[in-house]
Amino acid sequence: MLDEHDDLLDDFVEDAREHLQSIEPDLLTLEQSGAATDPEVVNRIFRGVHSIKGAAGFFGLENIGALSHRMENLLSRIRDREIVPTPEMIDALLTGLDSLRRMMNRIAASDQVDIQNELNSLAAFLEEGPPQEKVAVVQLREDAAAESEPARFEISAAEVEELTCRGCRLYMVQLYLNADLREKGKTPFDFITGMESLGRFVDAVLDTRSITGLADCMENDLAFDFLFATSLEPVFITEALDLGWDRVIPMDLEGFSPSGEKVARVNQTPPDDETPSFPAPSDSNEIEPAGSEPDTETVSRGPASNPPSPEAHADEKIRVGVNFLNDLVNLAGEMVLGRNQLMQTALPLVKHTPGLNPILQHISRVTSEMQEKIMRMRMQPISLVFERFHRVVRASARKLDKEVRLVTEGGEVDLDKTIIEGLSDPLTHLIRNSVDHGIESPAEREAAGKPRQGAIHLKAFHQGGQVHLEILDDGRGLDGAYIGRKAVEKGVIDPAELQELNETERLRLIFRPGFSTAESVTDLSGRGVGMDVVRTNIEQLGGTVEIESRPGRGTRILLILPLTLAIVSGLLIRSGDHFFILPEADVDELVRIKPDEIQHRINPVQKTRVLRLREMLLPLVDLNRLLVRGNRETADEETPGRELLNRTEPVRVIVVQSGGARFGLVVDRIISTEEIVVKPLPRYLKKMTCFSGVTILGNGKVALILDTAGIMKTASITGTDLETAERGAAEASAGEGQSLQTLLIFDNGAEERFALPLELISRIERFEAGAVERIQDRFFLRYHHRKLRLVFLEDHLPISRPQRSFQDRIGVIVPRQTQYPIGLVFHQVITTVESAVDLDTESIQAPGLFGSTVLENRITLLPDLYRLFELAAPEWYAVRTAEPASSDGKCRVLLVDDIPFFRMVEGEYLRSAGYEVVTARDGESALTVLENEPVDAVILDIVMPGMDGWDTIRAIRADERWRHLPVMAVTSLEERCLAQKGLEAGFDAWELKLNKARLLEKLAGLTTRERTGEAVRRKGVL
Amino acid sequence: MSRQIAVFRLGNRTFGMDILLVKEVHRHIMVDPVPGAPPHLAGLMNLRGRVVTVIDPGVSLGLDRKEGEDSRQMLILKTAEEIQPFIRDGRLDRMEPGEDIVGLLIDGMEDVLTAAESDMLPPPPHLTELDGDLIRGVIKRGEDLVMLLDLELLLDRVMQAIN
Repeated sequence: MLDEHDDLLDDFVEDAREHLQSIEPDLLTLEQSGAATDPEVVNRIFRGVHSIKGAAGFFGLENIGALSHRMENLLSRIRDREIVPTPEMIDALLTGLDSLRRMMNRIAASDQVDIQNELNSLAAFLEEGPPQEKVAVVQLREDAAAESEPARFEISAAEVEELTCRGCRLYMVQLYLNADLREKGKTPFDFITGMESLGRFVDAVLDTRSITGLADCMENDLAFDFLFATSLEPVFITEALDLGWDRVIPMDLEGFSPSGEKVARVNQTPPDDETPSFPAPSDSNEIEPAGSEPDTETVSRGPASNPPSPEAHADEKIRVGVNFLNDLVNLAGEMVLGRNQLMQTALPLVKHTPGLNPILQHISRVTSEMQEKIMRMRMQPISLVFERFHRVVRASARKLDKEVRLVTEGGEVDLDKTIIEGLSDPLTHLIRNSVDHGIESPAEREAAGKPRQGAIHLKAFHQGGQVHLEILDDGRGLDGAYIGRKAVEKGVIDPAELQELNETERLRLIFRPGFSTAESVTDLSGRGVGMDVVRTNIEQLGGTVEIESRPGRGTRILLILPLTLAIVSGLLIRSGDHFFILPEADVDELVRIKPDEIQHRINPVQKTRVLRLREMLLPLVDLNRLLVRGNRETADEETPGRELLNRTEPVRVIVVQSGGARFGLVVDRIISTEEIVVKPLPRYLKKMTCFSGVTILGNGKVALILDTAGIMKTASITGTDLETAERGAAEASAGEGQSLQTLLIFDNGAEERFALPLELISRIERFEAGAVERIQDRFFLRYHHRKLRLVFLEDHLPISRPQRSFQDRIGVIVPRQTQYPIGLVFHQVITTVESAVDLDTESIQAPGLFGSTVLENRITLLPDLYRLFELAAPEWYAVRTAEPASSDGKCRVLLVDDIPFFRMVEGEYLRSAGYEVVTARDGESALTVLENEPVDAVILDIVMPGMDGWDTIRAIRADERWRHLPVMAVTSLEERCLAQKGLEAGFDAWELKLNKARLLEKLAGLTTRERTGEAVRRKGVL
Repeated sequence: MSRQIAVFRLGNRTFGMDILLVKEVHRHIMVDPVPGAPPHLAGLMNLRGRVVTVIDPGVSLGLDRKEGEDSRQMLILKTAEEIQPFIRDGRLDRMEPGEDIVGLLIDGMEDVLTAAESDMLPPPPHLTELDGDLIRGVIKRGEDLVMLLDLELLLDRVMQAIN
């Protein structure tokens, strides 16, 4: 039977789920308010369970029927105020509810589920003792269906008594599944609620006997017999239920007249109960006036039935399949296309056709409105997800003996169905986390001067075209230091990296894979499903997660979500003959490069191109080229006119951001911004990673939606491309005969100006001067739980001494890669400039000063940071000096770098350590030096114009004479993989620029090893 | 049990497929090509607001066609969902054409052929100029052979072709 009628069964399951969903929050209210609960709430729960019970009987679902029946019994006692609900009772009811839900999920197997526990725990409150006496109810009229044996119902004697004392009569109602329900488009629930609006549905029996002799009965139609109690005359019933007169058969109740005792009990319930008359609104407990309840669909049919109250219509709903809806969305899109075409064609005619214009305008407006409304149909209120969290909070809190209250706000905010569905898991996790880790135990809270009961606020609101979801708790908050320690312990981050993070960044560590804040693994969370899953889930929905926390005060997590996934805003672009959509969320900025600027701003780097954009170098991806054959230029350029560098029209670049990386996408035209309906990519294109979906444009064409991450992958923009980008910069600057350097200009609170190469600086921090602690003649700052040694410029350089008060803010420059935490104090940053440094080492000389230069029309001093540190903390910087190697007693080092500044600075480092230094500006001149002079070691820059570091090392290693010559790469390229690549290419060591200590240490290691003639084993030194 | 075979032309050859697989035939077609796609994936088309993946079976079969693109027609196939009832009642063999709407570029529809199971012969061993794997069998129609396309394999090949 189940298979045969699965459409009806589906309806049943769906309806039942809705009931279950509305029952849950009501149960929780019941628990909280106890005896003071609004009777309407109890009634609502009761009716929900009752309807499920009824329909379950209808489908022969025994377990669901039995469990809901037991729940109904308990609920009826609560409703009649015979017992006061306790948390244990609510527990039992909630457990029952869960079982019902589980059985709904696998309805066909529901009768195999073991529900004995649930039944027992409910029975415990019912004190039922011996089973109630059952009585058989038989038909009153024998003639109606004389041929068939009458169905027998068994109901408890008490129930019959109760019914009769209300003045109800019992009827058997016969219903045919096909004829009465399916053909009339009704569901079993419709029918049951219809009965409930007239009286009380008592029991249902499936009549499997083949029934003959009834004219309107179809072959093989299934018949049900309902036992129905009402005070109405049969004629009203047949009318209201839309059934034939012969289907309602009065039952014999003669033997069950009301006893005085029973009447007395019924009389305790609200007054007005002894005048049961149509439409029987008198006893609100049993017989519901039609339309009083917005949750269930109220069915009233025919003029003779109860006239529906206005509210019944106000909330009337129709269920529509999602597929149907999606078809509507498609058709609406199609209609917009048609409208656009119509407008285009008809617009020229407007002048000559009176009255055409208003018609066009009208159609246009209606079409837009219709499309908007249809789109809105996919939206659902977020309360659908909010509802269930009361339960989650309650369960988690009880388990942990905590007291937690959940306050929800903004449940009416609408979101796309897909997003609503995707939100459930991450939100559950976040809320469990709040209860589990955020909210303290009542005792702890009282000790901290907080109310015993913790509060979690879950709030949804609109902001800037997006939906914000806030989860706010007043618990103990998150401790960045603790999280940091844990992260290091779990290997999520290395300690050095941790040092660099500020408090917010430390909090964000909890979103990294492999991190879980759970102190101990509890049942509730911390099962290894971490916050990283939350983050991934939210990001998959196109949203972001933010976190902030105040220790001891609480935590706030903010989810920012798009309104809908189905419609996104994107740039319509054209590349070649193709149209594409680039989601606006990925677009950083649009850049247009005039033809006369192309040569200057776009530089070829091997097989790719880079764009010079402000201080950045941006790898470029030519969309045409990429989609046709990957991003690399081919030797035989088929369409030379398309070559970027030779273009005569402006080049349009969209700066795209994806997962932290940026690149420039070269397109032919940027046409407009469009709101598009996203359609999934056909399976035939799934492997083309450059696309994430398709859409249909206003002109009827199909456009592909670009996937930035996929484009990056296809174009293989990786660390190596940044290397090539840097190389491009070097080549470009060589072309201009200058070497540009980015410098940070700052002052020290007096007249002098200072500048430092940006490459040297890791970060800048600001503190109050009062935070500086003095220990003897040394100054320290507590910073990320470490002591940062401070160096003051005025202590070591011949400059004016600034006046500092305790309230002043001071800046500290923390350099890259120092062995010890040390920082340079300054007053404020003036600007950063990109400039070719013309260093004057003569005019102003001092230890700790490279020299001076003119920047922004002012004399600017360039401090020698490492020398300053040596002066300030000599004990940390005992430098190994080179031991004599060559004939004249000194170790000769060839320093190859194209930028004069670096040649000078690093030359200085080397000389200070006792090396003799020879310099070269590129690979070719380096080889000349090697040919003509004895050299003990080479320090080689990687990014150089002409012959770069890679070419040079290959040339050196290719020559037998220099095969074992120590060669060290010193570069500003930081990628770890490059170091490995360097070692494979033949370098003995790989070091970053301007790290004096490491440079000297490694160099000393190399030269010593070379000299002692040990078996040289390259690649082991790094 | 006899089947109805929709017969269509590709170049100067005739091919066929069960008519239950055919949803509709279009004359006016506007295909938007997909850059970087293999040649037998002709592009995408807007069919009343739904996106159709357009496949050129002539390319898959390795046919050399001289006819101009303008005269082409599009044979729209039913989706997996739409043919499900026919598979269930045994009128079609089990197959998985996917949920996406697919259109085949053809050079013209011909008639519909009613053929008994016994009329279907195995493909001749020497099919020149075309990829014989894609032919499930042949039906004799007067002098010509109507070659029955293995639709599932054809679609599968398109999916595999993209890397």
